[in-house]
Amino acid sequence: MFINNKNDIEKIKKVARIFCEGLTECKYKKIFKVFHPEAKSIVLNQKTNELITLTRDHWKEAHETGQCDPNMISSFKIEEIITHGTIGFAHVKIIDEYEDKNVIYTDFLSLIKKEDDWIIVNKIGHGEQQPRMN
Amino acid sequence: MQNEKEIKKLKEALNDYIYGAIERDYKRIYNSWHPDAEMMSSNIEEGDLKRVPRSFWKDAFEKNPPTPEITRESEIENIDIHGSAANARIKTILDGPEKCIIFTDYINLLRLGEKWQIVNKIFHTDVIEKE
Repeated sequence: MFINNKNDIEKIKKVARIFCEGLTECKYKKIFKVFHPEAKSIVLNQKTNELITLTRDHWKEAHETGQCDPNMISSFKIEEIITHGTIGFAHVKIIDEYEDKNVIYTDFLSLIKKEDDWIIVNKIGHGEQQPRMN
Repeated sequence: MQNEKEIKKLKEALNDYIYGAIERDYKRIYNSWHPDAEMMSSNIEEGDLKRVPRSFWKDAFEKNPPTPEITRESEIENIDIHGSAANARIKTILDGPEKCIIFTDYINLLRLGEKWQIVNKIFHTDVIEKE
């Protein structure tokens, strides 16, 4: 068994980076490159307390209909990567900067090794607002 | 910052899964497993993703008789909580007379109200053959 294999860590880091760039640059094609067609992004609707299950197509729709603002000041940070044999996990943080607040999204990405490449097969996330100190 | 109260609640959900599997009680597993949750692994033979719904547990317990010669033990190795999202790592050892199977699970959970629900699991299997 290969736990936290250096080569795999680097490959997952690259996948996580492409995914985050896709989100922050509003480029769904980048997301599609690393997000499995059958993978789900699952989020909690805080108001109704229901789960919302989305496919990767929701990013395409958001980016094509202008719901994603490429001029938004966004950054990301890869917090942690773990691998074990054919499975991997990445913890990433996306920060969207608004005039009066930052919205910080914490995403947990599940990955599977497909031949020699890694692909995201599941994502869950949590978002929270922080007031900006100007 | 990991909140002790949340960790306790999250462990309750994980223990429903762990002990539901040991006790062959699919209803206990369903208690912490969202109806749409899937188990995923790398399908090496076909070179793609293998997806299994939570009904796997019900089918497995109903179709297969108990195997008292195989012991099942699980340990929660790690928990990471951020707000209403969490990830946990569980190691399960199935020890039988001929081989030992080790499952490593990475589990994604979301908090629905006061309760944590498993929404996805990916797993890797290691098999150790005995002499």
